[in-house]
Amino acid sequence: MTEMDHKLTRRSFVGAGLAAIALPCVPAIGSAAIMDVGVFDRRFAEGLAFCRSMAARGVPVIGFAGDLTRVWLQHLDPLWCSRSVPVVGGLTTVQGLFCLEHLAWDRGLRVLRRTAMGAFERLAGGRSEPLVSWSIGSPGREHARSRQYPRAPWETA
Amino acid sequence: MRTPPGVSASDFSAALQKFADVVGKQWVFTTDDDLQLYRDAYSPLWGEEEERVASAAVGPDSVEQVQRIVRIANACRIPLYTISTGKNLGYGGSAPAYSGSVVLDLKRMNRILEVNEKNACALVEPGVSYFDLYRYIQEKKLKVWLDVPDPGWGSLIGNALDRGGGSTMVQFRNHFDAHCGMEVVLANGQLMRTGMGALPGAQSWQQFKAGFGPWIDGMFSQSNFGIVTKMGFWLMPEPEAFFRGSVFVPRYTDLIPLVDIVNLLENSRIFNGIPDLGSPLLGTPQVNELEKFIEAGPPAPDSELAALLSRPEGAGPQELEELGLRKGIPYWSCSFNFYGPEKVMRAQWEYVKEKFSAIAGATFRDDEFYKLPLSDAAQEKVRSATFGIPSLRIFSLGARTHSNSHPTNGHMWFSPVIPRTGEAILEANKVFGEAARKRGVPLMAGFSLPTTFWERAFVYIVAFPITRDIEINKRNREHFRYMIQIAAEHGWGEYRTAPVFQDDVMRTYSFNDHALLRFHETLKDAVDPNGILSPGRYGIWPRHLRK
Repeated sequence: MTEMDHKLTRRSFVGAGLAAIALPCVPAIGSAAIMDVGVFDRRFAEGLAFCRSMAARGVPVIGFAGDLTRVWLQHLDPLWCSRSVPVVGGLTTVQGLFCLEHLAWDRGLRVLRRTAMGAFERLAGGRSEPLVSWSIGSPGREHARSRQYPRAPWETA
Repeated sequence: MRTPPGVSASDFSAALQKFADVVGKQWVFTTDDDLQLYRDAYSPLWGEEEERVASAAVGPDSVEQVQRIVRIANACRIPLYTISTGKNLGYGGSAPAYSGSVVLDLKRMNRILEVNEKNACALVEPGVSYFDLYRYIQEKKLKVWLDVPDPGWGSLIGNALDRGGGSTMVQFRNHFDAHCGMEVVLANGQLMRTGMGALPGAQSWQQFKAGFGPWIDGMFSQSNFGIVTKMGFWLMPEPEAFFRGSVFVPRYTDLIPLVDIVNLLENSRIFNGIPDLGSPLLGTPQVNELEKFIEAGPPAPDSELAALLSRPEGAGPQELEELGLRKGIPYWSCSFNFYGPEKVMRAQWEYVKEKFSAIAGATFRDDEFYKLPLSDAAQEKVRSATFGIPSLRIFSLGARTHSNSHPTNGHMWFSPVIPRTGEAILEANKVFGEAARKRGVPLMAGFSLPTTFWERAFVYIVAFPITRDIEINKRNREHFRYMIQIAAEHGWGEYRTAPVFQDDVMRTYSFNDHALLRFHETLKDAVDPNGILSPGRYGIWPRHLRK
């Protein structure tokens, strides 16, 4: 596994992300999508599988365990403020996406793809929570590929 | 195209074109996709015809642009609904109080104009979030702290104007009280500054609140008399250290002297952080324990206690107290946060313990001590808001958990102000508990302890769930209105509420035939005769929309 959890600088993040664009589409969990950076909730086995899948494709990935504060503050928001906004894909809880979607709106970005994954158990504690696979980016970029209309988070099953 | 009520599509298009001439067409939002973003994600009216929705949104970048937009709105009779960042979830979000209003979205105005370390104050625009200012302070290595709400993603100005609160030292927790000076665009487009800001070249705008003459800042909170475009805030000097200690008392009636002593000590500034009430016996968590409680569920109670609590007829206070005394489980707890030099805090804690020793059987525990600033490792362990650090952690807790097997689509806060006494806590639980049982209201806790953010009064906060089932939401709205009424009958009024209930709450503040509301309306008619600024906000309607 090549999880780069909390170690990527903004420059390496964007650079790696841009390099990854040339790769074939990653068969993300739930749906095909282009993705420059991956975000996953490491409390779930599905999150770790997502991480491995992205890493195998050379996509930089960031893990977190429930609390998105640091991931957003240190990595995603700087990326979202950059001149060349990458497509960020993720596998998180529905609540996690709810939070990130609102923050992305503030930077003029949108959820481009959203696929409800059903409920999965956490690795520790055994509690199940609904997960969602998603991507966030500038409106228009992935639109042209997927033609999936972004739905509001509360409309996700 | 959706239009504001009473405005034709052609007139509205003409107004939008004028807005676009001011801000640029890319900052005027009219598509369904864009307007989705201004729906209240926690709306109790979600999907119903009555849901409050915007007809358009406009995003100015400067005070001058706000002035021009207001003048256009006045000329074209377009209702505007102002938001800072629109993160007021649970109290309305970014949706307008009057459906069809154009949302005036100020989040592009996000300049941090000054942070004065020596005087511990800041001057910011409405789009500055707690995260923005926190990041600025960290980058500049300034020795000042913020007081943040939880979550901390909202605007300082927006939260203060809605009279939100935080978790650090007492003089900073009430965010409106901690402000100093405003700049306001009035409904006629004129620019006004309050306090010392009214003096050209003033050198103490963020140091002296009142200025000269009537102090009118309060008029612009929870209201629609102007658009605040700058606001000063007092910040907390970074303390040397932090300490937390807890007091436990064994008996049901100990709650009364417990609160009395808390009040005396806080009003005397013996402790300066937030007092945090809990009940080990009833399993009611303190605020500091809430994240753990939601995440992991309540700790498993003693088996005898569990049997007592699970009886169909419930358990009375005397039975519980007796069991608690026998098993050594305290009925009540209160933790105290201290900020300051270590030796001062240790002395204060000694005095706190001395005062509570007056309650028979009181016990004490030293909980946490940190030298400040916190190390990265310590930051991972603590409740961020206690240390003025904004966080999104609350969003990792809202899903299905042990204590919440049916996750909802948000919540609406029922938050009446009650006296800061133990008697009032017991009375409020009795009154709201009976009302809830009578109506089948889904209260989330058997016994609620109030929040202690504010000095001198408690706020008894209960979350009502929001669902995507229209019938359930309708029923919960009726329950909510019933609780507002029950509270008012006991002399308890809400401190804040979502737009859908603002008229209901305003109606309960009815002393002398609604003299206060009539005064608000007199002001509204005088300062905004065309009623273009946030009509209906906090129950204040312009003349042509009054029922």
